[in-house]
Amino acid sequence: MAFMKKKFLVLLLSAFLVASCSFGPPIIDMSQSDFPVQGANPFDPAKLLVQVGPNATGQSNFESRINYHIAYELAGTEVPYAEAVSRQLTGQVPETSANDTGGKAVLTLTSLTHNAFLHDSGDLPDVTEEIIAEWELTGPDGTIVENFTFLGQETGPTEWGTSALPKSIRKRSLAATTNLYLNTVDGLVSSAKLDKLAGN
Amino acid sequence: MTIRTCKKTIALLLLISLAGYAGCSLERVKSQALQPQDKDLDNVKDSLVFLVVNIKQPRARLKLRNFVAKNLTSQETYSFAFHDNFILGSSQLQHTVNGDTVEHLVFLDLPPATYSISSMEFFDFQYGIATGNLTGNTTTYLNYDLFKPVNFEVKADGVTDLGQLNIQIIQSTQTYTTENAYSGLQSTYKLTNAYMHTMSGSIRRLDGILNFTTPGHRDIDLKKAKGRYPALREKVFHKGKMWIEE
Repeated sequence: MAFMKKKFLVLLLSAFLVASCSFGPPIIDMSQSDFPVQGANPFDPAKLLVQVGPNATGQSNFESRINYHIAYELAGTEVPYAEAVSRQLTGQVPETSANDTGGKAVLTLTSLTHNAFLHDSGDLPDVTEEIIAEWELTGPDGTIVENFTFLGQETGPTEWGTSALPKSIRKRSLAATTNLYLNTVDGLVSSAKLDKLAGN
Repeated sequence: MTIRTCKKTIALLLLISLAGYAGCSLERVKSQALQPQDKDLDNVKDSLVFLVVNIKQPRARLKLRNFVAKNLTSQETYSFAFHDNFILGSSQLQHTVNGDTVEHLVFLDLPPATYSISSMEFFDFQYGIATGNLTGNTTTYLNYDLFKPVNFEVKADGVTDLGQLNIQIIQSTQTYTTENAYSGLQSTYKLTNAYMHTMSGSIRRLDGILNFTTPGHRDIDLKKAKGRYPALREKVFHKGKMWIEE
């Protein structure tokens, strides 16, 4: 019986996760962070172009047996995330698959993966959400200079109820996305190769 | 039932029992890999070992089998069955699909020592290939003889982080035939360049070449592990060594 209950819960959580992803992209909660720092764009937009890659992929694994092999778009999550990163780094909005990079270094978001893990405790177990972003830095001549992988995580409870459940999922997803954003900016700002290519 | 039939039945039962006993005496399983639940990670008998296994070819729904390591000091062998009952896709064996790679965070419980994973002396290092739909049975194994053993060291203190073990099917050109369990129809497929076409039914055994690499440690793997498993957050990790014998 307990197994059935848990199975039902997993299915329900899965459905809500999918649904919450299709409601719209989660925003980045800037109030939770030190970014963006006003006037602090560490890279020269004349030297660096940030873009969402032409083949950028978004996929999700939630209790993998449910949707193994099922990759669905994260409802455009990659765009606001890339925009937040781009605005912080260069003060510009990101390009979407620029054809002409104008001899600039290019920072390309290549993939965004969203995982969720149930913690096996209680009828409403805590869930860890994990979002992984991969970026590729190419020099002005198009050669790959560095690959970056960044991680955002948040663990939290799932609340029961038709309105509380999706709300708690969105709250957790938002925190994980914000954490990813912070780790991305921190990581890119501290990259010596990026600084050499496009530092102000 | 005649007396003669009874005798035959008893003899058969005795034979089966003897076979079972013989099978047990060959059992080499000394340890089970840990399930990644907090209570398992807190109740370690020896030393906790952490490694990341990346398998390139998620389309094939590969399943780890017969992961056997030999303690080079005590000569004891440890067969890790973390895979056997947990097909990829099970919530009990957490894994993620990142692009073209299936990633496992694996935890083992081992005495401090140097170990060698080799299929030459023990079992084949196998991968099951699940076919059919998600609930279908895995019936086929891609056998690979690991001619160059993978060695690793487990430290006495804290958690030994072995880093990454990457496994990729780089060549398998054998044509094989599948039989649809329902219709009885046979189809022939060819595995080329590590790409598994859509299929149904069960595949027979096939051989392939797997490429093993140990690219080292990544900070992000530790962050993932600590984020997913609260029991790890207070533990001290040490970088351990894992290498492929030349």
